[in-house]
Amino acid sequence: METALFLPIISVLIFVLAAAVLFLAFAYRQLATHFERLQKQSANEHALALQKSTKMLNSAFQQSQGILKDSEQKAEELVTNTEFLSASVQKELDEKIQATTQKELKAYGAVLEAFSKDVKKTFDSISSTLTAQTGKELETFRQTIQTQTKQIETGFLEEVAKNRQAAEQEGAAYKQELIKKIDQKAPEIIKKVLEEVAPKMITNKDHEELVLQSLSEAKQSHVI
Amino acid sequence: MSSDLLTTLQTTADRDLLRTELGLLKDALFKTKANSFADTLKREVRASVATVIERELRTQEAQSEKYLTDVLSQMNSIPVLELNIAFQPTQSNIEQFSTQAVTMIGTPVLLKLTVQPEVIGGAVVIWNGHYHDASLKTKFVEKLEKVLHENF
Repeated sequence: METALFLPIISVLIFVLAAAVLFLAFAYRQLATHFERLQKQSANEHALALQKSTKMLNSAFQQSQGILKDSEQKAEELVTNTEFLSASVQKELDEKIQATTQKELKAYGAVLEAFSKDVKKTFDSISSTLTAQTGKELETFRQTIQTQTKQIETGFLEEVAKNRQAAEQEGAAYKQELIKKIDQKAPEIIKKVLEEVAPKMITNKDHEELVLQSLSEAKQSHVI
Repeated sequence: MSSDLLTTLQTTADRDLLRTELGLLKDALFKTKANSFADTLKREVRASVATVIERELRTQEAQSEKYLTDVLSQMNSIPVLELNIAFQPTQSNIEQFSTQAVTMIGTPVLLKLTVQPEVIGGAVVIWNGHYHDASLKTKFVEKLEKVLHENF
């Protein structure tokens, strides 16, 4: 029962679906036809554009060639004009330099001459000043040397006299000291000499007599 | 009674030698060996001394021990006169000094002689603690100092 109920619905649905599929097939065919047409149109337009652009490029190339040619021509003209101008300017410049040089040389010569005169004058002045100053300084130097020589001579003589006096004093003191030393040492020296010499000169008999004499003196002194 | 031994003594050296000989003889008296004293007298003592001892023992008839003790005692009582002299004296010199000393002092004396070359000559005399410098050196120094003092 239920199947019977749904059959019409399903039939309708199948019908609708079939209709839809047919519609879609038709639409697709339409769309494909349109696409082919557009593709053809596009290819034609592309070819046309390519042709136009080629033409434009050729035109531009030709124009540029012309421009280049004109430029070269103008450049050549310009260079030619420039060389001419340069030679002219160089000549003028050389002349001006020469003139200026001569002028400057004259001025320099005048300045140099004036400078030479000034230098000569200055040197003359310095020379005379130096001569006078040198003479004066020489005189001062001579006087100084003379004075110092006298002072040295005087000082030397004074020093010699002082040293001589000191030496004499030292000599006198040394002499006194020596005499004092001799005085002090003399008895000792004489004793030593006597001790060395006397025993060799005194005989046994002399010794005996001297001892006997000593005994007599001891008796006289009441020692024995 | 004084022994003749003492008359032979002139110096302390003589005394010391005699003292040694008498000491040996005294020792011999106490030895048990027979003739010990005679042997010592013959072998250990100088002949001149031995002769005097034999003679005095015989004539005095004294006992040996007492005799020796008496001689030693008398010898030790002889006073000593010291003489510092400059030379080595001969026996003759010593006899001369001893004779003069005994004459001057009046009693026997022994000379104690010491050689000191630095005194040069003469003698330094010392008697009973008293001192007298009669040496040539002292005389010379005194004279020299006097001369120097007078002249400088």
